[in-house]
Amino acid sequence: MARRLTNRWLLFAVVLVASLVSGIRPAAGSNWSVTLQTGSAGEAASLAASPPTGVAAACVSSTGYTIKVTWTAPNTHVSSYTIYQAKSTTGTPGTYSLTATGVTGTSWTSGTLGTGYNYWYEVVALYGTIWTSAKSSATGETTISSSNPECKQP
Amino acid sequence: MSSQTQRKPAKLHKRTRFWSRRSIIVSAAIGALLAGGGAYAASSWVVGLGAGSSGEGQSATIANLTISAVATPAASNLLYPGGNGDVVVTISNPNPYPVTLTAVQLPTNTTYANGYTTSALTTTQTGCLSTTPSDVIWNYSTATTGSSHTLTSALTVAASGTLTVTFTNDASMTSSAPAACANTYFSMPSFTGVTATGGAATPTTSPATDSWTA
Repeated sequence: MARRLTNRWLLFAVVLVASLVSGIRPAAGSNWSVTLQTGSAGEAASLAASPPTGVAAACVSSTGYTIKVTWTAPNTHVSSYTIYQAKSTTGTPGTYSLTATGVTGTSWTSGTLGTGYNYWYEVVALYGTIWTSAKSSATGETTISSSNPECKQP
Repeated sequence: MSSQTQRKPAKLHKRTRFWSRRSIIVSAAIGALLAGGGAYAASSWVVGLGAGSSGEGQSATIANLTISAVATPAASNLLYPGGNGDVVVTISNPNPYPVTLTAVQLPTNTTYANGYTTSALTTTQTGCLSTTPSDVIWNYSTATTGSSHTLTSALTVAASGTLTVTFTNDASMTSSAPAACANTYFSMPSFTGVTATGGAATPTTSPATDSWTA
């Protein structure tokens, strides 16, 4: 009697295991819809709207009374640059004014400047149409003067 | 004495019959297991990720894949206005068999990512939310939800395993994205589904790189 019960339990266990294993196997070609975990499907990140670095200004000796501003691009995704200029007869720059927009590349040359003034520049990077970087560090002063051989007209 | 010699064959006969029955049962079971396993290994099926539905009553033994954001490895290609960026995900397969993904289904191109201040994706970025909107969407998504995009390489997630994947340049930011979205981490919108086949396959080494196109 006991042996018969053991056999039945053994048979039951075997059938159970076989059922479970065969149940794991989905039918070939069947479609399954399952929900996605609440939350995100991935993580992305955006770059910082960094300003140009290494901004410098120097007179253009070949033309005179003009200043060329140069800088290093913060990355390859800048669409254009905006130039701000300060003008003063003293050693402090005062207020910077918008001087040029839509500048591409990493340099810009001014038009003819008035003599007897000191000039400073700051550059802002534009990403797309809306993102603007903070202003770059200002250039040192550049003096347009007839006494400055590089800045007077040739 | 003679009665004892007569009883022994009867005992032997019973024992022999018992073992034969058990042998038959065990053999049948092993056969069933082998047959089932063989068929399992040879079969393939489709696993989808569909919002709001699960199982459809076809089987309760297929568990959902989960796809979630992960900060490591960090994205190499960062989003910028008018540009594309990488998306990093972890795919978890709770099933006791490998699952191979071959395509993803995307939400619409007006389903935007939510911005966060850190890669932990815990504090939202003011002015750069999905409702702002952030202007960050899945690349190649369309106006129709559920557009399907074939992966450049199939991805196989090991049985009861996870796979971290970087989808190269599969996030997109429009040129008019808010300035608040600079230097921001994004939780991408959920996939509407994936196409996957199950069965014997060599798992993809994690972390992996993949992508899709239109």
